[in-house]
Amino acid sequence: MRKKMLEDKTLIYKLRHGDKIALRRIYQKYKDAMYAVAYSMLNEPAAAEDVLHDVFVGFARSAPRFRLYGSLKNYLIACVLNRARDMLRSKMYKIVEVERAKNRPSASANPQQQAIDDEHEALVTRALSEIPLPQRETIILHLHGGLKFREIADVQKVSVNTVQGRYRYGLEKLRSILDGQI
Amino acid sequence: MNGFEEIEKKVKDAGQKTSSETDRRILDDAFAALEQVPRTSPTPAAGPFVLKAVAAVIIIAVVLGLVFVFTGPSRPTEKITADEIITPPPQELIVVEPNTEEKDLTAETAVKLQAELEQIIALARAGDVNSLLIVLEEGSVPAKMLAANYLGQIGDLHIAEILEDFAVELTPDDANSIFATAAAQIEERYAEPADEPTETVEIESNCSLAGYILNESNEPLIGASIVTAIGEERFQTTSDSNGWYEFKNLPNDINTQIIPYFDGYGYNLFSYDRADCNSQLDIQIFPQAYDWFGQSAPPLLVRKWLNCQPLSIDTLKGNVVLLCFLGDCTKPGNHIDKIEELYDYYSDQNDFNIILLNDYVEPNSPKEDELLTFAESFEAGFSIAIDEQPDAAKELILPDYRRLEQNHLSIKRSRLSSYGATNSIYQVRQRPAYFLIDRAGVLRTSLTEKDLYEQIDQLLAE
Repeated sequence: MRKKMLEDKTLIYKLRHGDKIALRRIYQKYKDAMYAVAYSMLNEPAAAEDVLHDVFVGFARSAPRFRLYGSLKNYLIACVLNRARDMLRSKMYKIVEVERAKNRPSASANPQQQAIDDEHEALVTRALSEIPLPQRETIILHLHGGLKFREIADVQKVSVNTVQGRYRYGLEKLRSILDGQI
Repeated sequence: MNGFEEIEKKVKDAGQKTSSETDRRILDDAFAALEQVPRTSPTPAAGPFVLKAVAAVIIIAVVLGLVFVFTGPSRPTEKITADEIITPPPQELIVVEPNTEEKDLTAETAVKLQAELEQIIALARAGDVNSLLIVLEEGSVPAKMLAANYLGQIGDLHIAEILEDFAVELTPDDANSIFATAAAQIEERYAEPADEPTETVEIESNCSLAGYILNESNEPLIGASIVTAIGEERFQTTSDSNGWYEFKNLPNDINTQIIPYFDGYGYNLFSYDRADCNSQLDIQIFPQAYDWFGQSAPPLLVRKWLNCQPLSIDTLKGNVVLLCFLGDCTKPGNHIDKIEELYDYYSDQNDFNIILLNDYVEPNSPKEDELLTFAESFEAGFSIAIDEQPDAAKELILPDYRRLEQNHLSIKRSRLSSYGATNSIYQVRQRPAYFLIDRAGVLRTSLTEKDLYEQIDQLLAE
């Protein structure tokens, strides 16, 4: 764990001095987790990309003054989460069924399997949008953001017990919604 | 988390990634942002804690320097014993000068150490936690100790964890080592209240929810039953003559749902957020199959017809059709007697069909046998069928629709329901559910029991 942290600290140090390679490296390291969290919250590729863009560009802009206390990954994901929450609450925001992103890299060469995978993914995403927000966030942060419960507790500003409860109840709910559908 | 592996895997597999185009675009913008901002060196923050420590630091630095001079060139990092941690000497010993009479090599390294320590002081003054951590990790022993000293003053709980690790690794036998002390210092600063309640969330301990419950035309629904489910608890209220509902003093919990119900509209489930509390929240609900009103009725997806030849909306054109969803027809008190009455009432009507669709059951299951027996012994002339399995409706399900504007939530639910395929398409959210299809095969409306006769008469008269 310390090794990873040190790399982040070194990257931040370099970033403070305008090192673009360091910025790129940070993006490569954390963009997947950040995007996964944004997408799971918003269910729209365009909106999720906007969140990723805004958070990361904002981060770059703040680089010279940036002080890292704790995990860089947690910080970036917390930014994404807050932005996604804002978008969810803003006016006229619709939660609609997932539109299959056309530029989504296809993992499967088999068209039938791909169709099944697409369908499963749509069902899971829809099911996720049906469970309460605190539970949804917890599951997304853990499974897509890779955060440990303790880290999620920091981000959500609740106790670890609460996080564990949200995770457990959320998964149970998901399971019952998806029962028979997948 | 026993038993959750499967569902966890499903959620993980449903993750998404960005395209390389998107990555390029974001990086370009980020680079541009990085270039634009002027870089300034971190401003020195000469807080009182740093100033206070300076005197002690210089003393320690000198003393450590002296220790170093006397004990020779740097040795490999090894466990520090309590003896090696020097307590601050008397105030008089403040001069910072290595003993130049010693060997050149020793003097040179002593000077290096002194420079290192002075740099640490500068980092601490600047509040540069990150660099201090690097020193903690990679610096010489005295440097580590000095860095720990400062981190104890300006670090957060995360740093405390790291300091504890160092304490265990480097000074396991000394509970009062600089590392342990520094960690304790931080923890004291961040001390949390003793008994943190486990399942509560911050801010208001009570939540009020109130607003109007509205129909598809934004008209208030009077006498709508609304239940909120919070954890294991349930609260119920009814909308008044203005369509206004109100909940006061709802407990805050992780698991919060509000479920308005109105006859013909079924149970509409949605979750509310802390942010929805204590401000007006209007909810708009829609009748079942609302999306299909005025259009050709969606097809009947039937697994098995129990007491007649297969029927379809198309083949029944020219007749008025009442479609009924009762759930499990064999269950007593399931309104099947109402349908029998209705059938009797209209038995002389040749251009009127009643179709009763039972929930999906597995082929050759005991339940199916029960239904077969039931249908055979049942003397009613109306058609009974078993719904198809839910998956069959996948292509016909319309997008699930929830919209939240400022304080106004609209719900039209359309999703695969375990009741069955046709149940899903017709958005059945209560049982019994009734739908009327006119002679042209157009779905006209969903009905409540009390409106049945009136509405059927109207359509028959067309």
